[in-house]
Amino acid sequence: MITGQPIVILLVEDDPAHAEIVRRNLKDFRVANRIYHVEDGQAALDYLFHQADYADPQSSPQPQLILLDLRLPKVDGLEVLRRIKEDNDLKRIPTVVLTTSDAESDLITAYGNGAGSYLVKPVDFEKFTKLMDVFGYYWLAWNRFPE
Amino acid sequence: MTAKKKDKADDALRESEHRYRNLFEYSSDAIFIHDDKGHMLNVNQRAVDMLGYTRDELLALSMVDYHPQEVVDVAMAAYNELAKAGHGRFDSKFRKKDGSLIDVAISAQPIEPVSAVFQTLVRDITYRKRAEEALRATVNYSRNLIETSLDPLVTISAEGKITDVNKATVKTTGVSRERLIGSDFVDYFTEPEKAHDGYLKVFEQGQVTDYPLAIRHTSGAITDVLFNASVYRNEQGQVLGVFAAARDITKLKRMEKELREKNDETVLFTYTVSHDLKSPLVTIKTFLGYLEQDILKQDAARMEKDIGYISGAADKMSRLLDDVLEFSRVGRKMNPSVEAPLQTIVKDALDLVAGQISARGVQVEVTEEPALLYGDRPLLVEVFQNLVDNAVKFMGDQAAPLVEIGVEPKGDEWVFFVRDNGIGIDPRHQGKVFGLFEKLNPDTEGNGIGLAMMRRIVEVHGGKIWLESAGSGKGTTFRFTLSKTKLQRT
Repeated sequence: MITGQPIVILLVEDDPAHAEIVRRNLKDFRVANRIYHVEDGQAALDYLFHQADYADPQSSPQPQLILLDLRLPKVDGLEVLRRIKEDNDLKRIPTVVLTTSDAESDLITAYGNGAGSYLVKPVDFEKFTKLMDVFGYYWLAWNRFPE
Repeated sequence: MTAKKKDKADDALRESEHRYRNLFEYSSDAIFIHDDKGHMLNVNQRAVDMLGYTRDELLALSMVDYHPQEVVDVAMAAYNELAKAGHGRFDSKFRKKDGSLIDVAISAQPIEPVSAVFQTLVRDITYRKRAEEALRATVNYSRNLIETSLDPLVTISAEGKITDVNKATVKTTGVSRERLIGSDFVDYFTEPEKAHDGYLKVFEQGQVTDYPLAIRHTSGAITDVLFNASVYRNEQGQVLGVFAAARDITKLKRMEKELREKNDETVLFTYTVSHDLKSPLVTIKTFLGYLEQDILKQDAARMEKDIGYISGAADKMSRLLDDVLEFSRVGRKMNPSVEAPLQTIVKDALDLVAGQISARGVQVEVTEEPALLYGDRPLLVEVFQNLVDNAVKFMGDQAAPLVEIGVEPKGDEWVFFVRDNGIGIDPRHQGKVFGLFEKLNPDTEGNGIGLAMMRRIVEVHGGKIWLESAGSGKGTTFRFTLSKTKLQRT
């Protein structure tokens, strides 16, 4: 039985087309989830640490899940990940890497920096849709988050 | 005295005279009998043979005349000493009749204690001298070989003490020869234990080859070396010690490091390019899938939107490919290097961005300081063009936009700068701007290849590029170095 509650997802993705793909797939899955999208690594840190444009917790609520691309402008995704996992509060937020990179060094560093899961964007519509479908079921339906 | 006795005495004298005559004539030394003025009274056969004069010719000369000009003074002094002491010996040279010189050992004494007649014995020691010289030459030759070697060479005793070194060892350690000899061999390495192990290995195995160690100079400078060492023995085959030669591989190591860096760069380049090309491919494939759905659903609005994403991604890919090609061409296909004054290069660069400069109303100030640049002219123009273009692009809302171009000499390099009073760059992000396809601001046009390209151009000219900015709103200064003289390809 699916017991998931609507959750806040922070999507860190510099490619607008890829952000659109994620949004479409998750929207198809469950309407109530709210996706907040930032386009570079610095914006992701500002959002999470309530800095600069994201100081207001009303308009920038704390996410339960972070979807993180790796190659990002300003601050690299691996560095964002490291900073999240170094913070006592933020480290509880599961962070899923979603990237085109399948480089072994990225995988090792990402897990080393505390990634909860590592997903490679497939170059195939069916597979990408399937991936987002499974991702949705797992994280949004079955996974339990702390209150 | 009876006649018989006298006969006997005469016989004895005759006998004695005969013996002396024999001794005199057949002596292996030349014998000269002369008075205290050096006037010759008699010479033996050996003297005739030795000098090549006839006996009469010899008798017409005095002792001094036998000496060649260059040693006469020294010989005279020696004879005077000898006359004073009554006897003595010294080494000198004689000139033969044919003009050739021989080395001689001279000893003289009066024939009788109080007589003014002297007997001077002269021995030809030319062969001995030559043998001595030959030995000295051999020793010198070996020493020269050792000293001429650019590799530090040492010999080490069985106890591990240094017994001999060459100049290269002194140079590499910074320690004098006197202090090196007798000291512990292992003291001059960054890893004494490893040096000790290596030297034990030589005794065990008779030799080691390419044993890596690092020598520490007294100044702290480290020289990476490979040691080749073997034991050396005396004629009986007993091991006397170890002879070790160190090959300086610092340069080799530096080249290795450069090669590794180049390789890392290539790996990064491949990684970046493959990622950045894959990204739009994901977009194209995925939105083609959506497009199929749109067609089935007859959703014209979404169809248009999806085609937009596809064509945007395709354009991005095409731009990326162009940039990658251009990027990889720098350093491979270069124009011949030429010399050009800074001002003419800057003028060409400014002409190419004149439109942007006037559109934004930017004031550009160029130094009049003379400086000659050496390199691929079109690429050097491109550097200034890009830096000025960037400065203009990131002016923000600056009311009095200004770009300054200048140069400062620093050693054998020029440091050029392009300074603006635009939006500046957050110090946190300054490290990334020279990376390939890195863009700080996704809203600006271009693929983020500009500064990576500038870095590549400067680096293939042997220079460095960096930026200085106090932060947002504080303007940016880009600086890069170029050699004042020659193009240094790395």
